[in-house]
Amino acid sequence: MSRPVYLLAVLLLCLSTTLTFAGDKPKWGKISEAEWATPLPQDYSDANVIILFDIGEMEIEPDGISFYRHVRMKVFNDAGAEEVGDIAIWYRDGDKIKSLKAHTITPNGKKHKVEGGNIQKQEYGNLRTKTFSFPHVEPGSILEYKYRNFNKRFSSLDSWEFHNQQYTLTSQFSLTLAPGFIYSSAYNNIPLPFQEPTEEMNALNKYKTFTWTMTKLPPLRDEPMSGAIYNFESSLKNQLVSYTSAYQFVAFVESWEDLGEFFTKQVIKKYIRKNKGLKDLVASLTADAEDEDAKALAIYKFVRDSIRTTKTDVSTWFYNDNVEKALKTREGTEEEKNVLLVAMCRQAGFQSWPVLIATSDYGVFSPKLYQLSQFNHIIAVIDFSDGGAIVDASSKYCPFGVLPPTCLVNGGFLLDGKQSKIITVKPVPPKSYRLDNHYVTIDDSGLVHCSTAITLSGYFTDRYGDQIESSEEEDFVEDVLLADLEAEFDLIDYGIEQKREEQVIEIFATYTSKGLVEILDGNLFFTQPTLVLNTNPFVDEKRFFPIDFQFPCTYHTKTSYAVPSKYFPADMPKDINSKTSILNFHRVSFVDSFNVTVESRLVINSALVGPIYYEGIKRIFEEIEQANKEQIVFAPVQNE
Amino acid sequence: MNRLITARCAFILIAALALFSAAATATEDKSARWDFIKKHIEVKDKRVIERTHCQITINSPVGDEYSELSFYESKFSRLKKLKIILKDSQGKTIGEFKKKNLKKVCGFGASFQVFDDICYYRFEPTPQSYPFSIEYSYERHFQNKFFLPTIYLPTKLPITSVACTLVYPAGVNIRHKTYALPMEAIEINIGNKMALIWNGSDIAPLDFDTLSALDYDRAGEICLVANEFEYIKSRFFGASWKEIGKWYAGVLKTRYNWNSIKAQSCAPDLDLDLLKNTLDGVIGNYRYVSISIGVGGWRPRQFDDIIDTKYGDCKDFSMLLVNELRSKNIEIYPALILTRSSGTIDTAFPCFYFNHQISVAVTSDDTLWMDPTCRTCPLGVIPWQDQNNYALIITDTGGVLVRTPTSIAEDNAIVRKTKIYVDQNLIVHSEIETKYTGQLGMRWRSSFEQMTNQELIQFGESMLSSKAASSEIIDISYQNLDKLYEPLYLTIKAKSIRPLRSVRNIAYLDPCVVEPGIWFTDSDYDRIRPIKLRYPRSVIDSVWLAVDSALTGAEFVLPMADTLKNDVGFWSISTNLSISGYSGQPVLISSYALESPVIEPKKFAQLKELVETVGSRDKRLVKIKLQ
Repeated sequence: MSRPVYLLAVLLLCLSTTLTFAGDKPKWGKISEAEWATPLPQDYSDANVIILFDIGEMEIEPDGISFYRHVRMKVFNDAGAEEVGDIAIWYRDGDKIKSLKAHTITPNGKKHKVEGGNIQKQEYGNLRTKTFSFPHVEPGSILEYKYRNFNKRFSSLDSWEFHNQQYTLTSQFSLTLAPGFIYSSAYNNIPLPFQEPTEEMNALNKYKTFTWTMTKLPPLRDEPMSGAIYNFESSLKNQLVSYTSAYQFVAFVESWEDLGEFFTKQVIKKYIRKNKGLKDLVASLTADAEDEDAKALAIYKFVRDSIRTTKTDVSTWFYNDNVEKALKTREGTEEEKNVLLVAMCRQAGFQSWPVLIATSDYGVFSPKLYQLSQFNHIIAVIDFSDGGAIVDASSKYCPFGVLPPTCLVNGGFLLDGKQSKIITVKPVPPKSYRLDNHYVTIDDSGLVHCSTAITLSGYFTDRYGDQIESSEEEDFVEDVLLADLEAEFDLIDYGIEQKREEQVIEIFATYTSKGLVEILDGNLFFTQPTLVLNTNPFVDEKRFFPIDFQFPCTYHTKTSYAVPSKYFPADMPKDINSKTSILNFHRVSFVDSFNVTVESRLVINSALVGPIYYEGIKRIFEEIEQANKEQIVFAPVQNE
Repeated sequence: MNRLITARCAFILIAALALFSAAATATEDKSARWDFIKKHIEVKDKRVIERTHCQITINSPVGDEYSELSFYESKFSRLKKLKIILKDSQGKTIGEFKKKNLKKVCGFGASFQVFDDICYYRFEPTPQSYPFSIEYSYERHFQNKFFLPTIYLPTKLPITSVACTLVYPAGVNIRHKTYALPMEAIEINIGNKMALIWNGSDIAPLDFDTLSALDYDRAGEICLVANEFEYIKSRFFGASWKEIGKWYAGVLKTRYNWNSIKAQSCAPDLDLDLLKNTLDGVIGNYRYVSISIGVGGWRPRQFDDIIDTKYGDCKDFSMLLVNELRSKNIEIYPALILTRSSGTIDTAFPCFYFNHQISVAVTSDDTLWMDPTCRTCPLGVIPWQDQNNYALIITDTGGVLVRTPTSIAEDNAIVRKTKIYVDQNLIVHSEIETKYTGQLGMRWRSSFEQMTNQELIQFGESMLSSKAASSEIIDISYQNLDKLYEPLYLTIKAKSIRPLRSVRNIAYLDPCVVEPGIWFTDSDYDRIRPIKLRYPRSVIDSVWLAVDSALTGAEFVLPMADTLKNDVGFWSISTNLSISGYSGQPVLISSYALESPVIEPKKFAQLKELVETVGSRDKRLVKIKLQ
């Protein structure tokens, strides 16, 4: 993905010299003529509701953090009333929500308050909501609410997302710091001109206020194949660095080295320290190893295959307290397995370290933000005499040196006490290939017989492997593999073979179908039995978020039609050759003896693609969808 | 309103059952199996205590879905002494959990609700080596006999052993009924108490295709109803629909103005204008918001509160209608209903199994049903969920169970007029005007209302997309979206993406650019319960054809006129060779209808015949013999 080009697109969207308000902040319940008259935005003319403004103010004082939020929306129609008529304000257990007010102002200017008794509280684990419904909502109404969230989460300030699910005319965030507080900011996809805040100082109390504003923000919508959405929405993460007063100094965050020392000492060393049984185990695993590679591989396979992967609460990294227990229980979390791997490699004489990363479906690691909460996974680095390897023993579908697709990240944080450092990861993904081979025949009654062999390799095994394991084989073949077949079918036979070390899964299925052929005037019109890419997921005109294909790969489909010799191929699909820098698609059809073969290949060169390439990608997927719909026609041979 | 349904749907709580059949042996299930299920329910004066003790063994990852358990708790039903033990394949304990260890989720009711005051405690075990077992036990204390719980059997997994008892004081009447269960309860007298016992072992999963409609919907239930209790200050005593209606009338007493209509003062005919204006007023001025707190599941909110907030749920809207119209001497009543997608009322077993409330106005020989939660329902039309269904009318003297009306195929019609132009490159240009009426009008009205322009185009493209052809939308728009009493129109201009298929100089044109089809599969016919359509419907396609001058020499072969009529519906094709443009008769008229709202198994063969005929393109293709 090209960040600069993407940011340019966001910049163009957001540039505006006109703010909805300027100078004084909007007053509760006071709606200006301009606000009443606000029309639908030109770039989003079928919006049902727009957010006139969304203002967040975070005030940090020694006794706590107060976050004030004030939102005002205009409803244009009944669908808009449904969209925003019910509100849920999310917060964490321990936060205090105060001064919650909400009302509807109907076009005649009358105000209808949300009564306190009509505000309910919901609970979801550690999260809470205050939820309510706006009264008297009708087209043309303005809905407004505000509240204060008081908490003491100094070391993890809430981030501010400029986007909402509705079109937002103005989104503004202010950070006010009492004297003594020092902070740092990390920007997520905020164009450069908007990164610098305006700054004010209150002469009386010396509070400093920093304000960021963005305007005309399109709504966040679900888009197919998006990566972690919050990777790419414009957001601001502030981190308190320290607080100094006449009486104390409190450091909220240290350098990366200090963070690394903390994590190594408090988490890694505590886990590895108690490791009875480790020495003997490593010795037995590596006894027959001829060289370093063999040693490392033996240890890796043991951790990957003999320690069962388990899950815990999100708040803990490990299932067991230490290595000794893990060796007894023979199970551990994904991260724990990699720390165990590090411990075992060190025992075997290797230099080895755990590395914290943020997986691609979780977020993007920002070195500017000194927060360990950025990371959600641990992988391992093993140093050999002639180089090193980055490994992850958590996925049973990944051989040594191949990281799972969610670990295809750029950087991580290597943990080595005071020598901890940020490193480049940049793994090379394996060749991921899906080959579908179909052999189609037809009997005298018009019933189509199809024999399909599918080979999945590379990351395709990771994609399908868990599904295969958690379903009955027949269910997997019928409900997953053949789900996209454009006709009813009867499954005759099937089989699945997994070759984990080679990262290969082979599947075969034979079935019959009446629906795959249409007989008109004696001509046979075959529908292609394609199982992938039958539907173009990219149907929206515009795209906001990058497209996440997860990994570079190839889809290769080959279908051979063998019909009785009394038929000849009357209409074959035309060859196609389409290319962009991201995707290549080509298709050929040819006659081989009396068989017709249609072969297509889609090559995806990049895992993550910026929205600027969307049009080209959409065009190719449309082409593929149409190509898969084309019928192969055989006509009876006419006797002279 | 949804207490019973919410309880039913909320958690995977199961109970004991008798032998499915004397000869049945439990099949070894690869995914999971219930080792034992024990449930003991005791009725104590006004309260009810349920004690449950179960164990399930998960045999493979395929069974993981059954390892996730959820236990509900509400103001009226307290969950106590919950204990969960996770065991390995040897039976050794590997984890113990109590209520405080589980994830608590409160306030999130059904998807249509803003708030519901029921809490769930979720147990989601970490993956273990297989097999592993989960043993759990708990008590549930119900404040009132109204909440006497229905017992549910897990019907998709085998059960090794089941034991269930219900104990209640002699003199208390409890009615019970089992569904899809061959075993009747054994009744025992224990001093001054009575006991009902169900026992079973080696119970196989149910084969749902062998079940009747009622058993299919209620499979695995032991329904228990107390014949006497007081709830929401209304006393229930009896076992009939009449008594149930009387009880609910008592609940509504403080909210509804029962006395505003005098006996025999109602007009012989219904004032339709008044009804229309009142119904439209509720639909147009009030927003549907469902908030269920305490008894709010059954009792409407205060009248002033509904007016002040301008929102409410089905009970609130029904109340508004009844109050308003009774004050104008219209005889109108609220009616309880179980929407069709939520289950089936067993008319032979009166109970409180409802989830919705509508209204009905009556004269001596006519009724007019209204569902004010339906924003796209004009007066005289209720949504399919309410149609052809049982409703309990709450009258001044008690409940009356009746059937709601059903619509006919002609009411729910798609009438399509298509002008097709084939250019010299055999690209098909079409202009389609589609008129939707009845349930189809209502359905698409509420969908189009939510769609962006982009989504409408995508909808049009998907409509015109078939196995063999795809079209690009040039223009699409709808008309009469806000006019509930007019048909809804959708107008599309489109162009095919590929030219017509041709073989040996014969091009094949499907004049029905929107592929007609009745979507049933072979497996739908393989059962003993009837097929219930949402609603009967009809589709009429009239097609006019014009071609480019380069094709005027071509010979057009129209399909044969043909008809099929059977007990399920009809289909017909009629043609008129007039390829001279859009004036005059259409080239082809294709129509079909599914006329029966319910199709009995003995008519499945006829349904299949109709489905195959309607779907057969061979019968409607126009052949263009090119020069």
